[in-house]
Amino acid sequence: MYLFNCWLPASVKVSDMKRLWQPGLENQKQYSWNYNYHDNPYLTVMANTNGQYYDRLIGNVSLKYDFNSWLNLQFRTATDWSNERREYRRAFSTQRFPFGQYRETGIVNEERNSDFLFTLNKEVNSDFSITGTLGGNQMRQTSRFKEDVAGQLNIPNIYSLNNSRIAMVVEQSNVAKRINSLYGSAGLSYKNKLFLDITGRNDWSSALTLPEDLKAFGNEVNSYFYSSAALSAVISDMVTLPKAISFFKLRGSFAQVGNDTDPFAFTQTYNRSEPFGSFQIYSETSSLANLNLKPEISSAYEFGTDIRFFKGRLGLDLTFYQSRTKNQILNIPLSSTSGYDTRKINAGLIRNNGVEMMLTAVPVEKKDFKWNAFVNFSANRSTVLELSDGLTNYVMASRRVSVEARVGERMGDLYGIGFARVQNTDPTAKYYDASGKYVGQMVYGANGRPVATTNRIKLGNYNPDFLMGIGNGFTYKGVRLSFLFDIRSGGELYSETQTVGREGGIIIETLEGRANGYDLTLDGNGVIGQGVVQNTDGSFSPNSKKVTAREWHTAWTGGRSIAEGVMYDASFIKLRELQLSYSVPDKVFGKLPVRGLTISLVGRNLFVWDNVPHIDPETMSYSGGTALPGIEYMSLPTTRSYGLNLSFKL
Amino acid sequence: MMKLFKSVLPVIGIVLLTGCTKDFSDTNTNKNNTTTVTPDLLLSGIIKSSMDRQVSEAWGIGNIVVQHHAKIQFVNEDRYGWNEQNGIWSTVYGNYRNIQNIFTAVNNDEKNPYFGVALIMKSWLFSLATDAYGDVPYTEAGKAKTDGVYQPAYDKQEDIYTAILADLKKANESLATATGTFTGDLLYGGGSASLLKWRKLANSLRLRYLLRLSKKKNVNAEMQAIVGDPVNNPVFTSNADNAEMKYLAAAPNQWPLYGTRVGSFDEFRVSKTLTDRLSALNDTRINIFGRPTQASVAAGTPAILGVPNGLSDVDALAYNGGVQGVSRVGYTFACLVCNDAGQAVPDPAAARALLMTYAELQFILAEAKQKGIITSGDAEVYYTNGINANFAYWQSVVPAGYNLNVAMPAGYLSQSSVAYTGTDNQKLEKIALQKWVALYFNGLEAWFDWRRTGMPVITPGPANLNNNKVPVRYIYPLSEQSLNGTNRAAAVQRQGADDMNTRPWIAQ
Repeated sequence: MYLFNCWLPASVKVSDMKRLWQPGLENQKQYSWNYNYHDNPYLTVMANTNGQYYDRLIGNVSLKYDFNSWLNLQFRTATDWSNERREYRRAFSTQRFPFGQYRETGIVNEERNSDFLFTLNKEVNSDFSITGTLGGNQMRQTSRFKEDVAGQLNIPNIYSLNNSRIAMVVEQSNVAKRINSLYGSAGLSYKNKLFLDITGRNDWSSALTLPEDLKAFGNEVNSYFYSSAALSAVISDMVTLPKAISFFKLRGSFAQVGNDTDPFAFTQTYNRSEPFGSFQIYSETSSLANLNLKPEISSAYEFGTDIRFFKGRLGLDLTFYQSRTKNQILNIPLSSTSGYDTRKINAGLIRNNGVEMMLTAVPVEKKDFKWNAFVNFSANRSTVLELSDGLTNYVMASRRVSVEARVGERMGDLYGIGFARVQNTDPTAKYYDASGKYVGQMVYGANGRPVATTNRIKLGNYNPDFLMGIGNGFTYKGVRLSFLFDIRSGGELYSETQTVGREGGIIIETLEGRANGYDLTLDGNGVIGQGVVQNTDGSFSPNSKKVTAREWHTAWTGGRSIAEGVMYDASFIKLRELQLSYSVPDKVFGKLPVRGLTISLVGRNLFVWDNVPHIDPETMSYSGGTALPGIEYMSLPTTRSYGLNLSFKL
Repeated sequence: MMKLFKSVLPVIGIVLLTGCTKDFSDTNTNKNNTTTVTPDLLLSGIIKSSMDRQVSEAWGIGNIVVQHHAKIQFVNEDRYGWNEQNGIWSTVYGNYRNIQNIFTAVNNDEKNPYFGVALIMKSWLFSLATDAYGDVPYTEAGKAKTDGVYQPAYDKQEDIYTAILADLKKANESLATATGTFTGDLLYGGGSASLLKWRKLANSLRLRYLLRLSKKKNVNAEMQAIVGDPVNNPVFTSNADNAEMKYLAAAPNQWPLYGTRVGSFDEFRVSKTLTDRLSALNDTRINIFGRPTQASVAAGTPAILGVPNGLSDVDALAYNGGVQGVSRVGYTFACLVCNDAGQAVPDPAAARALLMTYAELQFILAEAKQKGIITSGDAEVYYTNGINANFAYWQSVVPAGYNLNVAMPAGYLSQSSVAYTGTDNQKLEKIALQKWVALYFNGLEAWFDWRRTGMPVITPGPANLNNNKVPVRYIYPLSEQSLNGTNRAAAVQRQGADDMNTRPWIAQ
């Protein structure tokens, strides 16, 4: 996408490049419109493939014994086994791999669970009945990873490890985790109107267990207990309510969940790098282990209601929740000057609260025609209340802008370099305007380019204010039409497509200021930035320096460093799904065993109305394996799809 | 029977489960990698990554800012639109982790050769950091594992320099009597014979830093003590002592620019400043630094023509009729796909990464003697040694098969622009000029030296973005604002605004 968004001129006919190779040099030299930097995009798609073979087996064996009508015991062993093989091919003459490359990765994963469970279900008398469970589980996960890399190939187009031109590089990793658990639950119901359920569970995790030689140096806590209690009441069965309310249920709960971490969190290893000829090279991992890592416990309160009116013609389901995660296990970045780049900590306290609502309605219901609709709504706020070890902020991710959570503030704040502006609050700081006339305006240099702030400033937050979904369905006899809108309001994102696209001059925004090219003497050319320049005596005057479009659009991002100018509102309304279906009446088939035949046309991701040019605001970029929300970095376009479904029962 | 079943089974189950945490320690033990290593395995990585950084820093900024090279595409660096330059920061602190591991592995035993060598590497790396950024974390750096210090304070540059000089002196003394196996040495090959060369490097570096310090403090006694006592303070005596890393013929250890894409390589061209100065001296070294332009070769009159620094993109790309009219960087430093028509494939092991050379040392001594800082030796002898050494060095590096004329022309040393004549200031200018040529592709050293003397002159290009000032510093990494904000702010308060124009203490 980097090529298409930023550097591919509109004058290049992409379909010409379906011819991958130069004549007479098949598989050896790619054919392209320009050999300086980029590959033929068809080469990337057709020759430089990343293939995957994935086998998976899931199964279980169980044995159940009924003691009597209300008590039974079950033993079970289940497995989820997978074998994945990846093949990574790069052809000769690929820009970054002139001699090609072939890499084979094998990953075998298994998760096996063995458990036993007592289940009790008894009606004590006509008013009360009880349920109960008591059980335990032994989970074992193993993962075996091996990667062989033939860094350069001898013969083109032979993708085999036998064809390696240089020494092969092999990497191997075996990882295992075990969790043993004991748990139980009890439930009580009264006249089928009032329900009480409680659960309790204790986990013992190997991932939080210190290796033998480190036991003396850390504080091991590898066992954690968590419980929950839920109470719900069907008020409409207990009390007589107005006729309009056909069902009213209230519920409240308190639930805890405990969590461990990944295996090997306690060891500080030395990793081997590629040798320099006969010199072996090792380096200590830049990830600092924390020998006092504890389990994290998340506690949530939830309160909700489920009301139905007019015998189901209108329904409301509303939930309020607040959860606090104590000792959340986070991988935080460190200043590299400390000697290490990352460290796992138990963050003090992170709070999440929000509301979820679902409204369903059947506004019209007649013999042949029905209209049903629903609206769902959710809003969530996440705040860092405490961090451990005197840290004041948590950098979740960073790529041109950093996603941070500073103590006391919302998670997901975006920080980056902004435009220097005139201020009248601090006489000792730069760009102070005593008169107050120009406060807030952008400052420009004598060369007409915006000046950047020295320090990163807060540019927004990637989290939405709320999310909504609206669905409608119309049914007339056998025909049904339904559509679903997804709405997101609020939040900001950073767009790298803008940053580099402006440098290349491909995106439409770069037309500003070059109606007649780059000669500033011609009409329609050049841009004068809106803002002020600072005079030698400290006062300000409006900026009047005209710069060429080419200069202006790269200056807007200060040569790929200023992020403020390419931040956008991430709100959108999407037509997520549109479906038209027809159900053939059963009587058409008569004696044939076919029933319920339905044909439907479905379209997904059909339209989007948003405030971001060129990209889908629902994007997220990835760096290594970490998701970076709020940062768009050459994301692939979202696909719009159309389909035809046919379903029936026999 | 059923009752027994009911009561015993859950007990067995619970016992089995909880008892089975016994092998959890073993499960959570990482057997994929080792938790201890010998120091030679760490030293090799430290040297490799530091020397690679020297090459990439020279290529990316060093050669450009002192105007050995100029850019014709993506010209931001040439126009001083620098933003963050975090390469040195991450190389220094990343390697410091392993340097400390070496000290731990040898138990800080000064009789162990790894101790002295690691101390030299530590000193050199931190000198890069402080020269590039100014005040940086030093005393409290790298103490996350041992002392739980996650946000080290920034030390004053003056204190860092004092500590570096003391450490290099200590390394020299320690290596004089160190014994034991010593391998993993990518610079000098290891073994007991290499220890003398490491001492020479330590003392030569001391002279480099003392000269740098001479602007702020009186270093006469200390410099003379080193120069006047070659037995206890050996320094480089020939090109054989050069601190350089030779690359290998096979990937992935080839000359770092060998695998570059041709577009990326050709963004960089020979600077007109270099071609003008060398042609004024009739200096054949231009044949190493640049190739005849494609246009001039086609016309039958091959000539090496440079492009001025700091032009706008349009002007840079159009200079002298376009890319075919401007010289590409020398063939010795080239990438695999960068050969001109008819040329043999470039040698991936020809060019080397430089830390410090004998030629540079000679120019340091020439300047020190000229200024009266030291009393030993003769400035003209040092000066001539330096020039001869640099010519000889390139003759040994450039493959014969390239058919380049790199021999010193007859009469080179006696021409008026080279001969050691004139006023004191003119002599210092000549030293500076020759030293500038000799520091080609040596990391950022040429820039650090210019920063001290102002010679040879650097004229910012016409389209520069820094108000006609040459940058004198790298800004601190932006991440430090989030990860070590308080300490960084204290350093900025003390040192001055965190921008490229704030002169670090040593260059004021």
